[in-house]
Amino acid sequence: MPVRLASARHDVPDDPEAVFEYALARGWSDGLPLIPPTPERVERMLAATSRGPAEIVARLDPRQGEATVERVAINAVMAGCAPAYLPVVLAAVDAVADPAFNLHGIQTTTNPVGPLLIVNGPIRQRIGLNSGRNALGPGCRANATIGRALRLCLLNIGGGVPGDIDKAILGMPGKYTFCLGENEEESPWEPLHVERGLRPDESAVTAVGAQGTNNLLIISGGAEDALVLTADAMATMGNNNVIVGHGNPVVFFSPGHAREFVEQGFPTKRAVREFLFERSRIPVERFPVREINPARPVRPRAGADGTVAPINAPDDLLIVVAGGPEPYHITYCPSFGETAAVTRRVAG
Amino acid sequence: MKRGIPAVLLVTERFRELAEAIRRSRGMPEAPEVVLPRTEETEYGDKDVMGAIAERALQQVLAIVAPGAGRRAAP
Repeated sequence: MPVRLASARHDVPDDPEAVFEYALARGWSDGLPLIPPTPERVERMLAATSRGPAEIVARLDPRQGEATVERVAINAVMAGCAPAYLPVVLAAVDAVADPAFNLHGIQTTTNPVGPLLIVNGPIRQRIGLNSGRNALGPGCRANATIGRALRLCLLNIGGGVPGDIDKAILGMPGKYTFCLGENEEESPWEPLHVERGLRPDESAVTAVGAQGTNNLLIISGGAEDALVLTADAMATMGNNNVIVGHGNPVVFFSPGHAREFVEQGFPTKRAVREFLFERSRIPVERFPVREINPARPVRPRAGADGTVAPINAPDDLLIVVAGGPEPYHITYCPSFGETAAVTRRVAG
Repeated sequence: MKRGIPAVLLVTERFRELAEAIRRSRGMPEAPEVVLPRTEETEYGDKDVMGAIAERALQQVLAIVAPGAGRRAAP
């Protein structure tokens, strides 16, 4: 039986440039060309889920736009998603709408924050999601278009229009797309979704309000040296999560580094977290005399030892194994602060 | 407002378009607002500056919800 679509129809010349110009003029694009969401393409996309097109997945701030399955599917088509990606996009939309994620703040702030999506479980292999070399770089359709589909949903359904509503001072490239898988197969540790309560055979997406990537070159020394340098990156006074004292920053370790840590006394993610929590503390006297944000002063948060931690507790730090195998680079993503990571199971 | 509780939206200058979008999406396009200066002054400014902004905003709010009930100078 054909799917009944509710969305408005637009007659546009059958020409890629005309479609692109038409979408740009209406503010439907992130600035890149779009795949025209013809009824046939949207129907093919919807066939990848058992959910009805009219079902409301979430309401997206700040517009409180109804993200129906159909509207999400349209944006997924425009982003270039294959139909098999739709369950991941639906779970991501649901995740960012959780009040704990603070989508309203993330969509409207002057901060460069954007949703970072970390995918776990068997769906990664089924859709060819990259969790290895260059997982946060170009080249993989699933990574590129799932993140972009969420961005288009935030723009077209949530109303996060750059300039008028999205007040980012500079923004960052991850606001176009920011999606990867955890390299579970090469990780010696428990995967992120299992740490967050799901079974290993389930698939999940975790959304993080992340500010971008900070790379650390670490090609010599042992595990402890690598973690000392990681802690130094975390101890950046101006990061939102330091100033606000909340949020879930993320550290990405390559499989090579993760194995090295296990061999050299850090058998679990927990052991790594505890080390980083202690070593990333910042002496309060290093902060400017005048509070960076007088409304949320850092100084009163200093512990008895006179230091301020970038997170409230070791468990607030997310650790993900991803990337190529060499123990050369570690990536740290600070958090927007006023946001918590949210995990949703991917259906099917 | 819809529940009969007087309300005035306080919004800093930079976020006026956002406030307008939210009012529209909540079905209250005519809801009254008081526009505050930019965040640099309202959140990060000196106490005296913020106090003066707050006093001005209070008078504007009172003028909207209770015309004629603004604070009077001491005799």
